[in-house]
Amino acid sequence: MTQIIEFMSSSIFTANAMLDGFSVILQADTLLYIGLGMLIGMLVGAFPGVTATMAVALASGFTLTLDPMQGMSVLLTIYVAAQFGDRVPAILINTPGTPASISTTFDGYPLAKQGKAGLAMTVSAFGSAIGMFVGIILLAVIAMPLARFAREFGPAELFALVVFGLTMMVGVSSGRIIKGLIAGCFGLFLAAIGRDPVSGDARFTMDILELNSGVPFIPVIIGVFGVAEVLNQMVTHNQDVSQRKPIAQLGQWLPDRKTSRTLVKPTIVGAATGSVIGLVPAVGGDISGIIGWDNARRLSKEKEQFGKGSLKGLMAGDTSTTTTLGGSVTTTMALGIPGDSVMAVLIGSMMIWGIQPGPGLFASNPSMVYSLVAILAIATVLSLALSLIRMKSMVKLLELNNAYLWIIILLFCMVGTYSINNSVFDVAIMLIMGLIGLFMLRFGFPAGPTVLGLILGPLAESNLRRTLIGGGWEAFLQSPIAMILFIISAAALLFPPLREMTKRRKSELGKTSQFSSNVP
Amino acid sequence: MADRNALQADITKAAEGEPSGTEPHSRGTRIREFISVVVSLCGGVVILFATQNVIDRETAELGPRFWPTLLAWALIALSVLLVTTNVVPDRKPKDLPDPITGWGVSRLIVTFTVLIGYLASFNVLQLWLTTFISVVLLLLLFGFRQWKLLLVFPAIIAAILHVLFVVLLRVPLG
Repeated sequence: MTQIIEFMSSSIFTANAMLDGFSVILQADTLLYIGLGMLIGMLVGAFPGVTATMAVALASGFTLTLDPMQGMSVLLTIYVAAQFGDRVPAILINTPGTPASISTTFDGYPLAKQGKAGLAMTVSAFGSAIGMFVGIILLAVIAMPLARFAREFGPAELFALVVFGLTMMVGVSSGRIIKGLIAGCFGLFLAAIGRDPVSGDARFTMDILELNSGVPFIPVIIGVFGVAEVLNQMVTHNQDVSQRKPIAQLGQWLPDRKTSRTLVKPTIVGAATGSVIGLVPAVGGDISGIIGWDNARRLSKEKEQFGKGSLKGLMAGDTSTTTTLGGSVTTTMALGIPGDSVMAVLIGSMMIWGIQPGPGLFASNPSMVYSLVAILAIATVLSLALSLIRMKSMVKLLELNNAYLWIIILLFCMVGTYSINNSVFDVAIMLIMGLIGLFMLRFGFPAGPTVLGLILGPLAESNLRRTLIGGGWEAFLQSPIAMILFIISAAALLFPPLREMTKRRKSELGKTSQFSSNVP
Repeated sequence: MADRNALQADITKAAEGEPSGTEPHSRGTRIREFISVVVSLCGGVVILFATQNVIDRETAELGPRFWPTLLAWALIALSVLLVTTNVVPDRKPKDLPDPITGWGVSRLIVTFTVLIGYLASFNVLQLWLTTFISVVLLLLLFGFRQWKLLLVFPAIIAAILHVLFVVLLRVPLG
């Protein structure tokens, strides 16, 4: 009897939370902001070189004055819509609109060259929408239990969780793990500037009053993701290089029934891949898309068609990419560890709104998970609808000169950053971080770990110190969760170089044996 | 396009168990890796010295210096490790960016000068006016000479920024 009463009361509680959460999208202003986010996201996605992270960072400059849920509607919708818009340049000019559509270029552009650009864009849009919905279901089902589990975490586990998040982001930067770790340490150092979280003593403030409250993270994010990227495009641009002409013949739009049936398997493969990868903190859609495409290729009977214009490859990659988004939002909100770089920016904005993502978020605000589900679902439906009707106009957009974009982005970065605190100092920080970000781009240091380090730095420092003061280094050994997280982190860092080393050794051995067999 | 073809080839190679990035270093790539080491090493050393200036009122072991010191040593250790992974082995890195062009660098310097001027004029001139002038200068810098474009595009950008930030968000700018 007691169990029935408990079950009923928890069901009523969940139903209430769902109603509260979904009611957000019934408000006209929220819908308006979703529409605004969708337009920005579509445009952002369609312009190669403007990433979703850059757009969300830029938009965070002017959404900070909005109500948190309205602001989140804009930022999340930009993210969703960019996942649809970025397929257009990937298919028509073989240039990903954002890194998430790298796998789209593998088969999308060959299809466009075969006169099937319209078909490729439709399949890609449906694949992205299916992936989004799988991700949203994942968010609705997993977020609450994950947060409930993480609520039991003490300082040792929380520190291990930060290390886990950072190393996962570094671990996927294949071939530059050490540089990723250096970038992460730099971010953690930036977070140490200002008042010490325990004693309140000033550190590295150089008598600059503004630095007492720490390095402002939105200007840093806009600098390393927005300004640095534009500056890099500028320094690598050649005056004589003409813009690539997009393929204008779109051809057939909808796949026939037989073709649609062949796409079911790659869709399932893509969705499964994206679901697993999405739950790994800090791994973004770009990697997921490539792995999803490769998994579908391995499981296909027509392997040789992949990369030469296969609708199956296109579907698998795009479904996998967008499925990741649900997982990213889940880990961001439930654990406080950004699922990818866009989520790192979103965490920055949420902290300014006074919302602390992490295990306690859903306990204090249980309806939030359903609000997020509703926003993401509406954004997906609208983006899919727009993707299917706006294709021809997008072709014209792709012919626009990059220089217009540079000017717009740079000025928006400056005024947007100023508007956060009405501070010229913030803009100066943004410009300096833009130059540092340019250096990082040129010298192969990934920017993601720096931003992650900056955001998670206070959490890492305070929890490490609390753990050490409370129980010394042994406290980590006594926590199975912390140890598991440390072991996974170590594996994420060590596995890629060890695998590369083994392959290299095998390849060298192969060459040697080939040479000796050739010797008479 | 070449990058993505290479990436596709890398994925296929990886699936077939072949190593990637096997080309030897050129002089330029080795210098690039060396600069990375020097910068991160200097960063670690500077942080270590700067940490000594942090006032540590607490006598306990884990005062405000503990965390930055840990980070500084981590940076120094990682820089040393970077020498062994990226400088000493004769392997060109896989993630080389597109080459810098002279035209691009000159534009970057002038653009930055215009942006600093733009920043300096915040709260001195009206936002729409300073935006209009800056956009005209940047358009000229990037080689646009049509007078219609030099009037219409800056006017649109200035109007959008003014309406969004000054009128709607009430940012005190000019």
